[in-house]
Amino acid sequence: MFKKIAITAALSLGALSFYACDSLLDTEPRQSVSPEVALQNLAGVRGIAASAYNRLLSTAAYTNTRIAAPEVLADNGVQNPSGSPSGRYVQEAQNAIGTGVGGWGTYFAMINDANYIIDGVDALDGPQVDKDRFRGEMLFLRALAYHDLAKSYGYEPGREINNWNLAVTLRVEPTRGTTDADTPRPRNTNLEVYEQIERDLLLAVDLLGSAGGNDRFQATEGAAKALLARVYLYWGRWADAAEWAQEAMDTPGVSLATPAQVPGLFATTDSPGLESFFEVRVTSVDFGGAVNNSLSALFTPAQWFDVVPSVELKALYEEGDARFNSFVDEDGDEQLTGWYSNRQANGNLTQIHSIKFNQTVEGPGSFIDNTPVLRYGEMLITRAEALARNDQFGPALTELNRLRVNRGLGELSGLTGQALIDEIMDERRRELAFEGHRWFDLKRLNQQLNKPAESGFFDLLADDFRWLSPVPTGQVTAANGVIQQNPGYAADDDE
Amino acid sequence: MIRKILAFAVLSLVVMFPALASAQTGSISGTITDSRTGEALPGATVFLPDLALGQSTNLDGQYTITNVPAGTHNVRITYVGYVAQTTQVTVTAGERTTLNIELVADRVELRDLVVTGYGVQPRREVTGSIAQVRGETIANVPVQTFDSAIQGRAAGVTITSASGQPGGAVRVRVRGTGSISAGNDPLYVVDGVPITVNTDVATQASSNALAAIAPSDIESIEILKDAAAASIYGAQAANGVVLITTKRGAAGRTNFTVTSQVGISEAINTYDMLTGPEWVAAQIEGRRNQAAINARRGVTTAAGDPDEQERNYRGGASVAPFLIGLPDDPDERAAIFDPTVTPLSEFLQFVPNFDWQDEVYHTGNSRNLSINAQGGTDQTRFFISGSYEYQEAQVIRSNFERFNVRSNIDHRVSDLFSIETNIGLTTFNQFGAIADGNFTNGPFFAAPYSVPIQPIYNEDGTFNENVTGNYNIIQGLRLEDRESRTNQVVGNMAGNFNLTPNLVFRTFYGLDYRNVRDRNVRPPEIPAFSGTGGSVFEANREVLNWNTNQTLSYFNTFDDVHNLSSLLGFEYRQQERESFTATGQGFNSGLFSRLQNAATPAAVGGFFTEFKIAGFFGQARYDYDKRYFATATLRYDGSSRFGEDKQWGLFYAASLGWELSEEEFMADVDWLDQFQLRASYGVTGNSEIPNFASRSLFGGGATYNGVAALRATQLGNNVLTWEEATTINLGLNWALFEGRIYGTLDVYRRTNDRLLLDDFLFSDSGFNSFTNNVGEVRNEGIEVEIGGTLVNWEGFRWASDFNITFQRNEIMDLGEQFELEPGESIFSYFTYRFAGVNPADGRGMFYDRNGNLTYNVVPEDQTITGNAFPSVIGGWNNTLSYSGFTLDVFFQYNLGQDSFKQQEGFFLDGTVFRGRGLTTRTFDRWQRPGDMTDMPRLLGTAQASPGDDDFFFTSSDWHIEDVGYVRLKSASLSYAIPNNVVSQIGLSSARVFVQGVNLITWTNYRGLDPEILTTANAPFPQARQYSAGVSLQF
Repeated sequence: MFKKIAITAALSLGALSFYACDSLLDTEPRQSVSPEVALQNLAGVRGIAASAYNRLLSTAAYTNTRIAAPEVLADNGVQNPSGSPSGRYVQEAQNAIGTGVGGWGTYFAMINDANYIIDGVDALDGPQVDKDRFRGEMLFLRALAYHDLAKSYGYEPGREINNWNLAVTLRVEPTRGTTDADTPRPRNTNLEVYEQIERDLLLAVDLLGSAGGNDRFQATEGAAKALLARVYLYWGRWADAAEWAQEAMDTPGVSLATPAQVPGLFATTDSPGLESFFEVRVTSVDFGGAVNNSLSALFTPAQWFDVVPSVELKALYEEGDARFNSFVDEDGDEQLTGWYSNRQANGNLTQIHSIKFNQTVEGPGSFIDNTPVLRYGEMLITRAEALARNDQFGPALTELNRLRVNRGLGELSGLTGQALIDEIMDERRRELAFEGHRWFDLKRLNQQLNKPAESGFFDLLADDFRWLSPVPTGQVTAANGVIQQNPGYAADDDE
Repeated sequence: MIRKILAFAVLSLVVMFPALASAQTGSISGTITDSRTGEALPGATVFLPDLALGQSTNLDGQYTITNVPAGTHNVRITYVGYVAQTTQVTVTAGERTTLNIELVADRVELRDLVVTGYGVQPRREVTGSIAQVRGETIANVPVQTFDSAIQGRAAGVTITSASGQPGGAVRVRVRGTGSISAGNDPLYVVDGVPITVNTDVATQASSNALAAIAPSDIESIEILKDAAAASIYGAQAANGVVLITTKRGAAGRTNFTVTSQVGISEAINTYDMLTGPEWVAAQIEGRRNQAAINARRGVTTAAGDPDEQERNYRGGASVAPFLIGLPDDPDERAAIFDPTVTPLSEFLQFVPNFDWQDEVYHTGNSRNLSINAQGGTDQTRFFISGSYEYQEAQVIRSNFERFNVRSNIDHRVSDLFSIETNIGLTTFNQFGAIADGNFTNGPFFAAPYSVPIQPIYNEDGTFNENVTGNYNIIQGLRLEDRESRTNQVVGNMAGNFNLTPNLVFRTFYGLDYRNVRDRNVRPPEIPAFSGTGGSVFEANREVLNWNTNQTLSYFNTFDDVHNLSSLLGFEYRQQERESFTATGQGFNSGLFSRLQNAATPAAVGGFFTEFKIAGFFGQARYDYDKRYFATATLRYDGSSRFGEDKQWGLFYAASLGWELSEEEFMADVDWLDQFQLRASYGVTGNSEIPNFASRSLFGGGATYNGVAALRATQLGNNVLTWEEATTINLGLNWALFEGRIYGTLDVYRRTNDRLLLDDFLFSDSGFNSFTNNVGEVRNEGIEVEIGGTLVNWEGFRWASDFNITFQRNEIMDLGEQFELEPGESIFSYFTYRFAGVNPADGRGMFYDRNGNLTYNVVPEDQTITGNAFPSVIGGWNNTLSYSGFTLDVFFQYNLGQDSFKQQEGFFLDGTVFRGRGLTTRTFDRWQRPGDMTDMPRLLGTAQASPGDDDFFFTSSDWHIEDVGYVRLKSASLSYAIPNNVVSQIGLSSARVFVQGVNLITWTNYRGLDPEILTTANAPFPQARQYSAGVSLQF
């Protein structure tokens, strides 16, 4: 009897285990979804758009490299001569081979995010105004990404050295499967890339003009106009640059800081700076490990303090400049005000350093700062430069003086021709120092880089190959010649 | 409390004895001899377990036990190195009964039953390659997890401590490393329950899921090495299988074992650092060198004046504030700072010295108490145990504390049906230290990196917060909490149905549940955390892993010589992992360190993931007259991890064995006990990739401007399938002179192909890689084990076991995207080549790809310069015993392995320009033309000259060092108190012991601990441990 029970029990247990074999291996990744689900409605699109923006928080982009590297590679930032360097930006300071601003992987990931939306949003259900806004914002981001890539990896159109005109591969369709990604695509020319950027931005201005919002932590009509002005300036299309800079400055809600507002201009918190057309919003949620990689850790004594302003940059500021001003306090100590400081948190004297990034969003210890990407000051000096280079010296001087007055300086008069252009370029350096412009300003004009005397490093001639970043070696190697490396970096160049 | 119970137990046993003695009694006497030689065995134990009476033999091997109650009793005779024997004796009142016993020398292959997948097998019949470590080998070693205790004891198994944190991670590699992107950990099966290791363990301390099992509960550990042994585990078996079997009760009187030990741990090694004055002198030399270079380059300012540089440095902010005993007078001070007035040696007298490392290390304490009881009846047998362990690391604020209980029960319901269950409950708590990275808040990096002239404490005893880098490592260690608690249950239940005498059905259900809670408290008192008001991070992780298998096994013998056994089965396993994390900021003080005290909820996170595996398997084993053996195994496995079209895979193995010594033509060779040839071939699988690696996915995690992002995280691969390992094994087991000498020899080749690899994608697509089956890696090796009783003379016995493995790892094919070529090891270092220090000017030089000297390298100059894969591994165990004393001495070694010393090379050796602590290797520097050395001149900046590479940051083989070592891993001396003494107090045995771990290391490696995985980035080194204890049985 018992034997029978045992056998029956055994067999039924066994059978139970074999039951429903078909669904034995079904699993569901509950924290992820398939592409079909992600792209089936505007909620998904909203998430993908957030992903595209979030790429700008990468240290390869606007929380570190994109801002710091152009300063150190050029002549605004030098290695802190005293203190305890952590090794950050040592190679960039001497323009070692292989340094550069880069950003290949980060920006292409961002472009792919944008492409999902640009390609697919119109087919979804939802209000047209929302779809237009998403598309406009993503066109802006794609343009920003392509411009940042184009100026890192290629020369500007018309500014080629030895006729080298390759920029980066244009991808305007999203990657849907491995077949879109396992074969190399050649790099497009700089002109093709610039024309794509122009098309994207003109369309973005249109779409955002009618459907865009006014949150300047995201792309707006004003941001698209400002970026267009910057792109034209790099392109040497002076009249367009001047016009679109004016268009941008006409955007409501953004204004030029007065001398009194200058010291607090970068101390943004949960709203963008007064002058910002587009500002990358950074929080400790999104930017982990900030103590290691933030700009405040790099530029200020709060942490690594590796990079400080060069002697020649400091010397450029005139007395009374609200951006770099000093006074003697009641203890007889010299104090700095504006965008620079000579103090540690405990009040002790230290090296003069930039405090554009000074942990203002979440306070000391957080190492969190927003990064203004496009701002009024840039547009004003852009317009001045574009007008001057277009031989409109009078209007150019007017714009220059408008900036000077709002930085606590007196008006200049009688400047014209190259002297005016030189003054504008100095003003541009004063205004935009430690915001990631200097290296690219020298490069787009094919100028020689004179390394700061105190660094002891060699100057970079205008035709030096190191002005362009190397395409990541792995990409070139795997492409078997389809993706060309920039001159000077190819393995057999110097054999 | 526990002590009281013990005392009571001992006392009550003692009290019982006189009562027994007054009964009608007789006596037993006799001689114990060696069965082969007939020699008397002095010191053998004759024990009547039912009566708790016993006696040791005298020098002539004779014994007498008196006051034995009349009747029939079990007698158990034991002697080290011999097979224990149990027999019965009938005692008549008032008479002396003679009982002479011949003991058989312990032949390793006789006593061994080997646990195989889903069953056990006599070792003689195993045709696959299985290494076995007996529980008694590791029971009392003061380590927290058994995997570190079996290091060096199994041929072909490379075991490396991944962290010296007590209870920390251990890396086990069975026969090399076959996979690159996919996991290389073996499958661990505890009493039939597969458990997950190295995922979702604690994060605040290096942790190890195997800490759930107390080493003292383990009966045996089997490592299934080749496909023939492991393929019954099919798709999970490519990296080998480690089977852990815990102890079970035996019918008879209840036996208690109590073991208690206390010990200490201390640092094996610390860095030799420059003292404050030496450090200042090095800094000055670096600055003077720099100035001299500048002067040669035509610099006429202070930057080119060595004296000016030295003057500025002596009197500057980096040095002057820390000097002691300076005069107040400004002029006198200026004179002291002036190198032309005050020579350096005089100046250095003002420089203080602070030993930061000394504050980090201490002597850690350890305590360990374990109790178990086992026994039962014919029907029900039990093993229950409990243990407590507390172990402090050699660094402050790092420890391990564990409570463990286990209950293993077997019950025979009837002749047809039996049930069993094993339940192990564990909770352990760890305080951890940051390691494995050059972190300014990790003790192993930050302590030597701290500036030796800066005080650790202010004069009032508070922490000096004004230190270079703004982080006082001692303050950080003292005030920050990094704590993890792991609660784990590993349990199972099974029923066995004897359907017919030859056919058994077994149904098995297992559970591995783990909950890990991490807490990291960063109090606002530490300046680095004051800005946010301090923070508390908590994480809660849960792993739920269950499995079931249903097996039908059949055994029969036909015509006395045909032995057949077979197994059919089904296995199913599912694992879910889930976690959440939360961070709060803004605390009044370090007193409040719970999330609910936080002013700001700063961040939350979490994840969920799961996988499922199902498998059908069958195995048939046949032997003819125990002479010819054959085994075939088949397993069909499906995993949810693979592409929809390729979820199922077929794995198989076959093996043959031939026992020559059983052949008739060998019958005359009586010195040969065993000569068995084995051969096996088989295919196993590896599926250790992320659970959803085959799918196209959009995932979350990031946010922007308050919106949660949805991001394409990976591109799918519908045809992604199993990585396969094909293993060939040829083996030989031999034993001579009745097992006096024995050994094995195995030669293997394991080829992993269809590697689960991150295959290249062009990143302008937005993706870098996808998981694909690409490439092939081969591991080959020769494993030799030799053991035997070297001396057995006059009661003195020396038994020795030695094993050595020669192994090689080789890439066969990796596609085109990797820099490593076929023929290289996957552990190759690919770096620049150091070309010495130029004797003329002290600059560090490199070779370019054409073999020319250069100061500027380009990526193409890199080449293979080292290999982190050990080519020779092994161990050597010696047991010497005499008259109750036993000395165990165990050596473990690892040779032919390189390591890249990033920590020292990048930061600590001669890197004057960093302005941080320096090792005494700095003394080797180049100083003047003609100096021949491998340490470049000291410099105030990272580049020797403008345009030069940063010598120290350039990854060259200057950083690569041989980490081969031989280590006296453990030694223990124990004394078994004679039975006639211990039986007086009612104990059946008592042993006292002292032991040490990591006692002596022979190595050329200059780092803290040569036991290193690959690249040395401030790993948590192992400690030297000493302990003493007592083990009682009653």
